[in-house]
Amino acid sequence: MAEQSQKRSSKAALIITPFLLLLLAGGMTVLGWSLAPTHTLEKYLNIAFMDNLKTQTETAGLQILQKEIDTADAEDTGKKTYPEGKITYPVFGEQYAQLTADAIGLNVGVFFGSNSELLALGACQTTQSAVLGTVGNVVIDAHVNTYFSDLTKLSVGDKVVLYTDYGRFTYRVAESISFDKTDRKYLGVTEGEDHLTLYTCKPELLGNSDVRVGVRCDLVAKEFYEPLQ
Amino acid sequence: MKRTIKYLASVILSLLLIFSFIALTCSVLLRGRALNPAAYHRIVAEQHLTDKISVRLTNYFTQQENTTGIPVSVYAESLKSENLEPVVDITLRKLFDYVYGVAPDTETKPDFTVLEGDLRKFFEQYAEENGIARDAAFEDALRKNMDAAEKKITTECDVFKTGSLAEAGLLGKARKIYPLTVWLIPVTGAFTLLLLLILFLMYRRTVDRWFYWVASSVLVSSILMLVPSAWLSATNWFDRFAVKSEQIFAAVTGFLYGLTHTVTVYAVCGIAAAVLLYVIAGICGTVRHRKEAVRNAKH
Repeated sequence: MAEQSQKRSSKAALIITPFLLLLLAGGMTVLGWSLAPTHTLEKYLNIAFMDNLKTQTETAGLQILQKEIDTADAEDTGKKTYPEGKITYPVFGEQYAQLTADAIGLNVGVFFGSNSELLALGACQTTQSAVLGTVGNVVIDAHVNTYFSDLTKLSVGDKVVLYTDYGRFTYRVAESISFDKTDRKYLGVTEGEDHLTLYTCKPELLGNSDVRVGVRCDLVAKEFYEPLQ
Repeated sequence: MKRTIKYLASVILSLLLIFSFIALTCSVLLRGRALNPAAYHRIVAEQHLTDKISVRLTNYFTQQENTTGIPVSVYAESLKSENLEPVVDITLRKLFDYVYGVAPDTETKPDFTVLEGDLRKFFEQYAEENGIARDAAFEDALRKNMDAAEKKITTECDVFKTGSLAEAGLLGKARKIYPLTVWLIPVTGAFTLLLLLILFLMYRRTVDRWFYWVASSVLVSSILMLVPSAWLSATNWFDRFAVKSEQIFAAVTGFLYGLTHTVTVYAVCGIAAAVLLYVIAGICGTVRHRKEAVRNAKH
């Protein structure tokens, strides 16, 4: 009887032992990980593998929206305009304005946001600068080999007009500018002052330039198509 | 009481054996893959990284054309996949030379003779067509463009981000630890053998029990390795890698998935080996019981 009981408990031990070992080893592993100083490793892992977009159904991507913007002057169309009005804020990749400068025959679409794909399509406004119609410095750049090839031919007093779906904004060239690519002097915020800064790379023999050239313009008129409610 | 003590001792030895097996597997993987340049060269070939780099660089220089005025055709020869392979090779070689302690730093000097020749030819042709003097300013502009292009190509070919790893101090740490890793396999192997020997001495009269305990240790260590590796593979966890540059993403995730796959294979083989050992234990146990039964019958 005792022998049979011993045999039964021996068999039970044989079956239970691997599970017991798995439980003990697994528990020790989890305990060891939680007690060990792995903060630095976890920090690096979180930084290196932070993109969880792959686990979601939608992923972010650049949406480029090109569109026709009416550049007919308000006087020609008889459209009433207002000094203050509603602004339709653009999204990154959207063509939200048309830039014209009759003095140099410039007429180019302006995209909100700047990257190589958008610069291939037109002029680009940096997202940190003021949206047309708001107070501040509107900063727009384009490639010197394409759309802004004649930018430096603008003279003080020349008219520059930007058309959007919500209004027309007229500037006059106040000064020609030249600065190093690392200098933020003309590209930063201008508190309480309305400016337009247009710039491009200084043409070199060939290759990249470290110098930027362009014009700084002052606001002459804001004409909104819809009043503020 | 004696049986209980023996059982507890076996559990403790098995736990040590489990972690010893895992340590031995990790040591083999570390020396055989993580610290072996052949594994990285294999990834470069399997993931067709030089093709990806070629496409990426071609797109880059095409976009740059608007700014620089240099047509992408000037770079065509240098951006061919077969001409980028030596650049990738040299960055990998320098990485391991540094970790092995052979080289003082990770700076590479790939051969850009073809690129420099093509750029010079284009510049000189442009200068001749436009009546530009080949003076110091000309040479300066040419040199600047050569340096910029070489830097861009070298950066894109650095698929395992050697520069970033070096800046973060991780390569320095790997260099310090590397001499110790030479002892990893011998030490873990010796410890494993010692534990097996101690268990054998405990069960030298009942060898079936020795097979049983070894099988249980192998089984549990395999399960502990299989669960995380299978989960990482099933959830494509490494796709969360933050660097989305195509060739770097392919290189790093390719390497990590390869490592995970190897761990999974080792674990599955371990489970199969455990099953075999259980069968052997069963057979040996049956033979032993029959012998005992015969001996008891005689007495």
